[in-house]
Amino acid sequence: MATARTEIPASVMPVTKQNGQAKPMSLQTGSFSSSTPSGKTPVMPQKGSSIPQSSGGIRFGDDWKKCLQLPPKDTRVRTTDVTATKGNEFEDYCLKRELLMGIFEMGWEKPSPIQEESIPIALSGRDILARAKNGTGKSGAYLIPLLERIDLKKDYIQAIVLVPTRELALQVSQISINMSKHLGGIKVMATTGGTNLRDDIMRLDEIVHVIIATPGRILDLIKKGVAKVDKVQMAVMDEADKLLSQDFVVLIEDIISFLPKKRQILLYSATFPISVQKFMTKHLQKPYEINLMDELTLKGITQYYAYVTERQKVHCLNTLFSRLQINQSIIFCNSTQRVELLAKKITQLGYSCFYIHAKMMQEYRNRVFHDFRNGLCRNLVCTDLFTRGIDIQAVNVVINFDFPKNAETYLHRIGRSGRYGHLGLAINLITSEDRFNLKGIEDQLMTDIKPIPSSIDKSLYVAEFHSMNPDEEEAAHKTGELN
Amino acid sequence: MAAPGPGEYFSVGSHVSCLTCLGQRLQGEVVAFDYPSKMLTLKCAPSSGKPNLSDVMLVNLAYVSEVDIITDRAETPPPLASLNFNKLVNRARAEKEDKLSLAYAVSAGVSVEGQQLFQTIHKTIKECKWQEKNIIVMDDVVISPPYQVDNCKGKEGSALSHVRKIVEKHFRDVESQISVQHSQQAQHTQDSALSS
Repeated sequence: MATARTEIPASVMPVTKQNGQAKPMSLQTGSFSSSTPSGKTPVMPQKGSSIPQSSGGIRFGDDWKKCLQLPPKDTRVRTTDVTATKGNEFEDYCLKRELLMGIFEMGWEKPSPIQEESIPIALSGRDILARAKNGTGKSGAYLIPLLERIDLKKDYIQAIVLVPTRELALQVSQISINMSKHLGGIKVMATTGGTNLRDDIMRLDEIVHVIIATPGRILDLIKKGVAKVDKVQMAVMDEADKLLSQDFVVLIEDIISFLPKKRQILLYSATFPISVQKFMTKHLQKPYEINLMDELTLKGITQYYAYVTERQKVHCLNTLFSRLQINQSIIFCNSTQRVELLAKKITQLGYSCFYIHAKMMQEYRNRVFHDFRNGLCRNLVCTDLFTRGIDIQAVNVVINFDFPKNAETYLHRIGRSGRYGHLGLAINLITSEDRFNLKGIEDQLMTDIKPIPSSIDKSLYVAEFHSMNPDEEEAAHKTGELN
Repeated sequence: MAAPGPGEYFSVGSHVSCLTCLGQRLQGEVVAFDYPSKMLTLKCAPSSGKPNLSDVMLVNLAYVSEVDIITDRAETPPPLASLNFNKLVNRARAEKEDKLSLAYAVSAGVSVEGQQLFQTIHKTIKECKWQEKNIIVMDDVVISPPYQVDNCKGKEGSALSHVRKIVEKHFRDVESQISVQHSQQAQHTQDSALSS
């Protein structure tokens, strides 16, 4: 619950901004002196600094950080996928203070590599093509500049985010809402297929600043004249390789044709197929290219294979369940029928599991997804429908019950654990038919998939076994701050 | 060397402690040792404080006055980690470009304020370079001496407004730092007065 000290009513925003802009530099210096806190106990802000600054940026000595509702510190070890940074801070990007508050209250302390590369370029209005792994802060890389550039005085749609799946749309919209809660009234709307069209039409009668959507639904709304995107200044395509596949590319081209000539397009993708290159050449102007894909698999993921016959797979899975310390796991099958059969078998073995696949109704899938990420069940069995960009930090084990057919699917599947630089485990059940596939995927991704050992070191994938001591973390954190 | 020879002093994996001729104590795990050049490579605790990183020190034993072997290691050392040469080459080139850019600014007679502003901008926007005494940002914005907000010129748009914000914040931060130093000096003066 937001406290009175951190909540900024929308009506105050314009006045505050004007005051902030009008203040001469010397007064700001004076404000700094008067607002210097004494002792460690948080105090009410001094009168001189009680009016919050907005577009003026953050001044040294501001005590607004003391009022933040910070989540518990995440003490798990993180890999260089998110720690190999240049040392920038979110404040370096001249963001609105209210946006910084939202960022910190989500538990984000420092920008990850993709955020470091992306945010300042996006704020400068350049088109971007970014290759980055899932799970490395990609959503923040485009949402932070997107939310920073929303003008609340304009009551039309200013930005759209296109994603390939409904689950990802829900997730990105939730991050947007959480991050913008102090920004005084940014209206974010998620719209996807499979839900009531009438609800979306009614929603668009009210003010909407940002739409996060799957392509089919938003195109439908655009063509009906309900969603007016002729003044959109920023369009983001997350999972662009999927969005530009055969299934979606016609829809995407159609949506682009409704955007104004002067717009900014940001493309984020883990892979870089020909379709993305073609789209870039056609629609992006002098794009800024970011490539953080030195290695194609997440550093924190340990990958093993177990060589079994088809008949042995269930027994092997049972053994894994009994021996591994699973926080949450996702188990992938290659067809909807096999998902249902395996889920039934797992239940018979005495383990709890949810399952999800494309043939289920969308609302049911949403509810299962929501319940799983809230920890109501330990294991989820699904097809690849579920792989794109879904972020559940509690998942530390991914099991390929059926081995995927190509490297791209493999990459996205095993990215379900090891999120945001945390450690994770991927186990592949390999039959003789999968042997050449395994070799090909290893070569293509330049990664190493080893035979599964008799026992697996828990520090590779269990959070408690690689957490830093909280006191040491505090000391390290303070040292960093002093530096 | 796989087999221990008569000249080999240190086994890979051993922990040693060195006292340099400057009186500095170094302690770490032996990564490599080259007898002809007397160079010892040690993996030490990280100075950054990050637990998953290490400092690597190259020590010339000709300048070490004292060496102690804390623990010796007899078994075969593990294979060395593979190096991504592309990544290393890219890093070396980027570092070199940064240093050359700095040197250019000094040789062109750019003011200290200009150099500091360049560093601030370059920290977040890498497409940043010198053109004589002007800072060029993303080929769109030109900042000429004396590098104030008013000196930022370019096509109206997001790039120009964002660069102006950076410049404005930079000078505000510099001014805050000066204020901090002044108040510290004032405090010091008061303390001196009391002590005398």
